[in-house]
Amino acid sequence: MAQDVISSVELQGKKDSAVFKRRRWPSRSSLRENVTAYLFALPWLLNLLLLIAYPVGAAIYYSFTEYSILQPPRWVGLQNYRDMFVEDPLFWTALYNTCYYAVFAVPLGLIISLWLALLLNQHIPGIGFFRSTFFLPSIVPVVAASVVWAWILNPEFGLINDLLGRVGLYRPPWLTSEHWSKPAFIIMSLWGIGPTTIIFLAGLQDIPQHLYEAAEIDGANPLQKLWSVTLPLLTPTIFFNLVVGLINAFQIFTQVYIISEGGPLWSTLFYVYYLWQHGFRFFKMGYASALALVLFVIIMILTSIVMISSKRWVYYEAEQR
Amino acid sequence: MSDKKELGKSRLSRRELLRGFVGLGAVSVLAGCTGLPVPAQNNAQPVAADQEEQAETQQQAPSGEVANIAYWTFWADRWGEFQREIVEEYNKSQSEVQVEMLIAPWGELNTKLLTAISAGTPPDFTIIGRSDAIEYAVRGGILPLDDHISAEPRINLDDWFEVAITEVQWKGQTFALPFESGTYAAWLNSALFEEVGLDPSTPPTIWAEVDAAAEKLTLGDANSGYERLGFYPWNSRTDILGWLAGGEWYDEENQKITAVTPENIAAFEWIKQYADKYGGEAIERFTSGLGGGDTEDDPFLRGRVAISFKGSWSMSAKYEYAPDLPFVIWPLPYREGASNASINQGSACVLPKGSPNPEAAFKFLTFMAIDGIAMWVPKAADMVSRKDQTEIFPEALPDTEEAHAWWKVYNDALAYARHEPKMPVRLFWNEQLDAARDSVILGQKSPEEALQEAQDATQKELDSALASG
Amino acid sequence: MIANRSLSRFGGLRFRRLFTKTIVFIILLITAVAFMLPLAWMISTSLKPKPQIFVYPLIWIPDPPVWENYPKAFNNPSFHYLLFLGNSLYYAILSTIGIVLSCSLTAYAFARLRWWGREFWFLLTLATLMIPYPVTLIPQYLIFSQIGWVNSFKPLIVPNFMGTAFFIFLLRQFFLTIPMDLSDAARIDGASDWQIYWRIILPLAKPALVTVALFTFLYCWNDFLGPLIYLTDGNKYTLAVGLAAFRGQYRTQWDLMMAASTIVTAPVVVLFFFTQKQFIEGITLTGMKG
Repeated sequence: MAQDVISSVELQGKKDSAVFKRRRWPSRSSLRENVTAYLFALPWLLNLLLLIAYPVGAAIYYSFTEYSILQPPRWVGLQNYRDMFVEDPLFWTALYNTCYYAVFAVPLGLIISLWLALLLNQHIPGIGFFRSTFFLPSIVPVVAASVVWAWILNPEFGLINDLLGRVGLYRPPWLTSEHWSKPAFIIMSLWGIGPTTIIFLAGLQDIPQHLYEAAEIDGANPLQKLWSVTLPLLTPTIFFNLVVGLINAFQIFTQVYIISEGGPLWSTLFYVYYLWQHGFRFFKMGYASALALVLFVIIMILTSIVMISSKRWVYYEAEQR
Repeated sequence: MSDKKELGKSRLSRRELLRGFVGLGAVSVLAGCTGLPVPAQNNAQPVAADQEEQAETQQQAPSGEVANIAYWTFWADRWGEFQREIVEEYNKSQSEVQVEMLIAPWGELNTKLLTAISAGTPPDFTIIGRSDAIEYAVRGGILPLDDHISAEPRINLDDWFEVAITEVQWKGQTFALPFESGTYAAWLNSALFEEVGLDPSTPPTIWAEVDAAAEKLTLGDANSGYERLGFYPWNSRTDILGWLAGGEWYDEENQKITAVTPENIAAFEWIKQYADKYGGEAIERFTSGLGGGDTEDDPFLRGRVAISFKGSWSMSAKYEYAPDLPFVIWPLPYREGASNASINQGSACVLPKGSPNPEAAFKFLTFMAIDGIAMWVPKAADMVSRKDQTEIFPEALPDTEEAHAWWKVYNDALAYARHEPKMPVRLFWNEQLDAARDSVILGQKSPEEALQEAQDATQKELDSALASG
Repeated sequence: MIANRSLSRFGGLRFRRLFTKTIVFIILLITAVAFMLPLAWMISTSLKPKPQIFVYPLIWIPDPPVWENYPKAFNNPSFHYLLFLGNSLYYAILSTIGIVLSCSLTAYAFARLRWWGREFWFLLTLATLMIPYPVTLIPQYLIFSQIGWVNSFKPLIVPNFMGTAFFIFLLRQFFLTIPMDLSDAARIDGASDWQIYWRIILPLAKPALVTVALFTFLYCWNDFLGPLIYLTDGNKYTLAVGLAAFRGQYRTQWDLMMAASTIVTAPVVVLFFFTQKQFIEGITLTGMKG
């Protein structure tokens, strides 16, 4: 049936996949549409209400309590928040570290995966193999990958310092130094750009060929083509990867837990690890919940900024501004 | 205009965002405050209530029926299998209590255990770190065992070394029985000693002697890198350095952290001395390996460090990974004017709060603490905690005069070793202490500053933990 | 990208293209090697004799390769590979089916239908991605323990039949790129939304669905915390949990652990290579925009 519909649509000459048209919805079916929609979304809505709402609500509640997990929670009002902002210097450290990491890892990840996707968008022998290669790192279990990275970044005999040493450059102490530990984590994050690259690749292949041809006729060189055709049409994809990348960067945890445990000197004390420590090591789940809420608000604000700003820089082929 | 609400990438206006915020909050809080119960609500005073519970269960437990209990363990790999063998022995030896063992890997057992206790689904019995026991006990996470102990004629608390049994006692109650333990001692590489003209049979017993030996043994310098390091004080735990200098970290009676004392400062000065002389960062670089201690990568086993402080558990690793390395083990060297000190850590057998069958579980607990450990030591090469078991020698170690001598050094230390400071914020304290040490190594703070900071931060945590608990 | 305009137009264009392609090939090769390095080290270490693991300069080719590490890891007493493999497959396959179904249904509602509260629920959906899991772990466990689902896979699999925010978001984006004309035309023909969903949208979205399926399978395969918390029977453990057991309290046998990691990762790599055509070549056909 899909074939019939598609061919009939094609007959009407509307081939471009991204062109949206206005149409009127018959008003008498809006109730039906509402019901249908709720039915379609029912599993997820049930999930939200039954399995997600309670834990989130509980977390909000705990944030106003002192809760060791082993004993019942004890109401303390805004004490946790007060401690966090006024009394706890490590809170600011954790926040700073996480922002530092996100500020570098997210744009770097986006740029490199975009660059990779551009490269992978060519017709070159073996391109299928290359495309697979970049996704493989995401398959390796985090435990094994983290260990491997600890080796690669080893100050004495790690791979990176080995190469740097051969060319006579400075060999940074990476994870043993408080100044180089965050850059070490940023480098590690780049290894996980496989999925992002794939998504960019999809977005690239979605750009109609005729736009490039038109640009070439106008005498554009490759760089101009990139700037005027590729990037504008890629902005929706960039948007998606940016939002998701941001959300993930702020929640980095497993690698910290396995490799550095926040050291040295708290230079890699990232927020969710700090939170987890309070919840499961220091028996302060109440404080951890408060930390979680603050993080949520921060991520929410940042994501909203990105979303609101998206009106300015994200280009949708068919919609009016 | 009406296009705005059309399909296509949704535009979320500010109003919708606000609605979303409020909506999420409202839905969640509403759901959270009504309906499903909050965990662990039914305990006003955990300790007293549990004792009542125990008494009840004791009356209700029928005799003659098989009791199946669950045991969660953090030992895995071949040690997990040794545990399994012990459990099987127990199951075969009697039919009242049958034990089923589950492996929850080290590091994650805590998370699994905490979660289960909070929801009321803990195992009947488990073994946790002995130093963790206090943190659980103070918060009512494990059951006091005094009633069980007095009812069990085999158990006499004096049979255990004081360091082991006092660590699991709080406010007059005993919360666990120690299982295995381990102690620290000093190792030196005899070949390297002889190479620089030192006599390995008379190892340095005070710090000044260690310094002199270290200087001779070190090859290289901070700028061009090291080929070999004689010694550096922070290759093991930080707290033992304080004790070796004659200091104390914690005043248990008054519940005060006593980090800033002349002795502890002297210990940190010793750290600073090495950091200054040999370069803190250079040492870190040189000694950072992938596997860390007790792997094939251990700096001592590779001959890169000549003197090291190592735990008793390192012995089996040494004989496995570097069997031909000639070495000497002797008690930890102390600061002039101080005396022998070491640390004894280990694991302990506990009954988690909410243990479904504490009666039966305690029978197994008794077995593990007295008989099980005797079976464990030969295979796992851990140390014992009972005074009458120090003669047990691990099969994992070669049956040579030398190995026996070294094993004896460790066991003798049980008489003067201490346990970690018993405070409910122990993990927090350890982190602070390590950070203080790092800041001295990296030259950022003076010893006194670093210790003061650690003390202040921990005291604050401790006070609030004690106030609420 | 490096143009050489001084050459004649015909020869110049060919040469330029070849030159560009070669440069790109080389860059890709170098980058691919860099990406494969950690994986290569993992496999290399799994075959090394113990003294060769932590040496400098680095040894890449073990000499001689210790193939016995694999049977050793395979037969390791706490690591019941086949049993854990079965459990992992059970968990991963069921979850994949559940996620693909539930997330596509929900994404259809978000992308193809107009309904009151749509933007609100979508925002809520996104918001769930922003909550760190350590704080919801215990209340969630409480829910499941109250209904008696502890020590089973139900707490892990059933929620996957109810959707998850990330894939709902992904599929929604994808569904938005399919022209509404298709739906409209079908509607005019009298098709119900279910029919549109099942017969038009899903087939067109196959590449995206394959992507979601692959990502889900991968996630469940490597999911360590979920099974650890909810399973109290060692026979129900998955490969991911079994792998963690190689990290001992005092020591870790790196060679065996890497061997174990390799045989845990291998099935997914195989799966990936089989679906890669669908997944990579396919997703690029219809794209994922907007």
